[in-house]
Amino acid sequence: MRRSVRVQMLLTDAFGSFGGISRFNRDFLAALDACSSVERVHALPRLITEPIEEVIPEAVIFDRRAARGRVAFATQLLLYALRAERVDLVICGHLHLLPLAWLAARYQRARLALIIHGFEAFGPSRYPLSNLLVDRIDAFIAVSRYSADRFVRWSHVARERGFVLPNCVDVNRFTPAERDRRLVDRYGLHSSKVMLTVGRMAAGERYKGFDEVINLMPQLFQRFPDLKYLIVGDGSDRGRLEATVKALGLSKDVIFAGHIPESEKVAHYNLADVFVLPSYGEGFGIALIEAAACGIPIVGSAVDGSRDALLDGRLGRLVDPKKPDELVEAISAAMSGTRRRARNDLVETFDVGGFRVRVSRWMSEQAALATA
Amino acid sequence: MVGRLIELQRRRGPDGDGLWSSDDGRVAFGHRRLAIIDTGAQGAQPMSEASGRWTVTFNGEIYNYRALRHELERLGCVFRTNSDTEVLINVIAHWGEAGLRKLRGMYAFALWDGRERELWLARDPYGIKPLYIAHSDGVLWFASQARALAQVAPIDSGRDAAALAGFYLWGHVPEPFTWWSGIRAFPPGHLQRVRFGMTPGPARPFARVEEAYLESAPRAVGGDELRGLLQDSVRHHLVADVPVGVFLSAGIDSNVVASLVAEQNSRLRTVTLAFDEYAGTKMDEAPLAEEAARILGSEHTTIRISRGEFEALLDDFLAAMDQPSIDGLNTYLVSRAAAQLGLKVVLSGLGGDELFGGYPSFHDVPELVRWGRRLAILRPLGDAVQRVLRALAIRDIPPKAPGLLSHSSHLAKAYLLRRALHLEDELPSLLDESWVVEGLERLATTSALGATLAPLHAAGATQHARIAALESCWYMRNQLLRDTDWSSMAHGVEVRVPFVDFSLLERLGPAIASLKPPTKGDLAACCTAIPALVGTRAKTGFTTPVRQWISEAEGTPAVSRGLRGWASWVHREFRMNCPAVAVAQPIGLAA
Repeated sequence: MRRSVRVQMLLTDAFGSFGGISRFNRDFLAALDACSSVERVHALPRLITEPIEEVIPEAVIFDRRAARGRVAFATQLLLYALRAERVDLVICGHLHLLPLAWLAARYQRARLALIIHGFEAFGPSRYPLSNLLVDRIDAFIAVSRYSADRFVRWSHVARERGFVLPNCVDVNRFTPAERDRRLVDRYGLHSSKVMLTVGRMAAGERYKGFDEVINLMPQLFQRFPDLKYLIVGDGSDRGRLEATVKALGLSKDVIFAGHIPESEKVAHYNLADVFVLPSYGEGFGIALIEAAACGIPIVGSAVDGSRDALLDGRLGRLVDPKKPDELVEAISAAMSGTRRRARNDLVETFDVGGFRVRVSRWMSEQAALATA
Repeated sequence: MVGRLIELQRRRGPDGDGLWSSDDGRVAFGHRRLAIIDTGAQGAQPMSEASGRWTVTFNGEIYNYRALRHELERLGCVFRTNSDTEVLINVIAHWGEAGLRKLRGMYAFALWDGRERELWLARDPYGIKPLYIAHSDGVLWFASQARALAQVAPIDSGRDAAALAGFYLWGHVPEPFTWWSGIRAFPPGHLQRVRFGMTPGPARPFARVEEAYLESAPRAVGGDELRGLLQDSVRHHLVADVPVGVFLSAGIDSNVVASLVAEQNSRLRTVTLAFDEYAGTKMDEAPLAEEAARILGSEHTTIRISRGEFEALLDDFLAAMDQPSIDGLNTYLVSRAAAQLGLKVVLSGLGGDELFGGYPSFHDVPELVRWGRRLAILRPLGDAVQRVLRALAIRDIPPKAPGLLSHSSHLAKAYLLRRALHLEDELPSLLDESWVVEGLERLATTSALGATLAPLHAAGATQHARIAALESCWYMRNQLLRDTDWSSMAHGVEVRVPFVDFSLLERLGPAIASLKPPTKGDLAACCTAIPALVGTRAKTGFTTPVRQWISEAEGTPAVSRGLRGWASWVHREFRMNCPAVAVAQPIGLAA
């Protein structure tokens, strides 16, 4: 008979939240639901910021009480551990949550796995306990080879314990389309060339390359006088970036769209003539594959996890973000083509179906080890 | 599409198939045949009668079709076939809705009246035969299996929260809900007439099990009368043009059925299911059943199932399962054995516990309510006690124990406590709260149980009669009968249930509602030919070693109590094989 496992997952956020990590976690939970080796998943989120609109997968218990604060999170974890059904596998969704995850795994005599997204695990964490416990993990998942390598370099966890699981995109939902007129009106993009970046503007990170692109604007205007730079996303660094833009006199040309609802995402990608993300600390860059699924030409980074997302250049142009000339040339080349575009089928490498197969394979291994 | 629908239900009828559509192509019927009465080509379905006005597709048996045919012939009706199907058509054609009360049997049918351009849908009062319906874009779909409908009809095939919560609450999906949001179970004992091009009116009841106990003033039944009633029911259930067998266990019910069959049928064939794990233990049904078979002089077969065989059959068992259920394995295994022996029709003792107060619930539920009354003063604390005990999660306390106080206020709640697989407050550890909140709200279990009890309550019926009604309309209908249907039909075997007969209930109901309801002792006394030990054997239920097999496979000695672990297991299988995504392609089918 097929042995199934109970999973506990400690998460920063998933349902009722936005951003790359929450997207990955939602996809991961849905993939666990589709695993025959999984009986049930008890998922504890640290944060829920928005009303939950998605359907929670049948096998997942999304413990909303855990999101009420640090104490509530620990309490829910403890209450669950006291109940009769012990879990077989604890998955820690973020390096910062490792101490609690380790305790939960230890108490329940369960295997412990850690998910590495990117920046947070490129070097030792600011939480000493996490660093101390990191070599106690039985397995880890990294969203790219780059993230895995960076993590292994400082943590000294054996590379063999890792599993590279790239982010996924729903290629049936993210598809090429004409520009949405309402959005064109909203942002005043009539007859403009549009350069797009989708990403969080975090003051503590600043690796997505917003400054680099803004600084190139004067050069790019020479070739594309009607150029607009559309930035979708929000974050603590937005005020500084807006000030920079103002100081450069680019307020009319750089548009901060802020956070947009999930339902408008595809239409926003389809406004773009080029998607740019000259980052130097991206773990994977889910926005890259979303843009690729919409058939947008992409200029991405050659020096971080973006390399995985862009399939080593087959899905978009790889540049060194620290070389402005290279960046200008790549953006210009991408925008010089016609607007009619077709999607590169290679993006289907990252389809949800493939993601689920990979998760299922990993879970089967974990289930076998957890029950051995 | 209809062709695909019947193809998906092929196992229910391996002997043939048929498709029919009206001249204008707006109505289409399909049928898979398990030929039992008038097994030749003329008994095939869908069947139209001579005038061509009426066409039917029908699942089940009309046991009194010969008497009805005789009556109809006297009225001038001419028959072309020897089938009960043609009788069914003519019953409706001649007597209209009133004809439904004349039918004795198990049935679900769709009948098209070409003149009035009207569809009739009906299902037997107990709900022995399944009927599922779905609406989409002006098209009405129906089928005997919800799972087949979900794969073909372009409906909302998302998960129904009521089904998910209901499954963990009861161990089955309670009617009218099904696993798929867009599909509903057609209510038993109801008729719906749908005129073409008009909005369908609601289904209307023509017979209710819960009202049968009030058919006449309560009065006890004598031994001879009881025996006569049972003989009559068994005689009706033997109507067939193929050999009929009996599922024989070590319990009273099946022994009485076998013995009554033996009285009427010179050739009795019996089948018993036994498990290797139980060999030599009190749980082993085989020795007593074999002794009974020897006394009755039947051709007997005992099928022994090992864990290895169970595991090899598991995929097929789950593929045959129409909706998630924690039961059905016994009938699946014993029906498979019957099919291998060449049997197409088998009688079962199912329903004896409901008629003769055989379940522990007949004792436990009144006891619980009695204690509840004594402790009424503490009841306001019930929910708090339940919360505290649940939070403490003391492993040695039975999981339903925290609910004792909160579930002893009245009969419906006490019944839920007795029958529930998990109590409501346990669901949040099994399902996300979004499913639980919506599911429990839509199930409205206490008020739904209350609706079953309403006529009995109004008439001041005894607690015994009320429990009998709950057992018949809830546990038996949603679990026993439904599981028996898919698990036997998967092998092309029709299981007949002489204790689940509305005509019998109309006669026996008032006795059940009397102060001296018939007991298992009275039932045993109807036959002299059963082994003495059968009559005295403690009730063990028809158990399978599933729990042990699962816990061994899971490697956890502290497996969930009873069949709780099995429920999660079945749910997982349905999650995998019937994912909650639209599988049907959109079609342009006109209404």
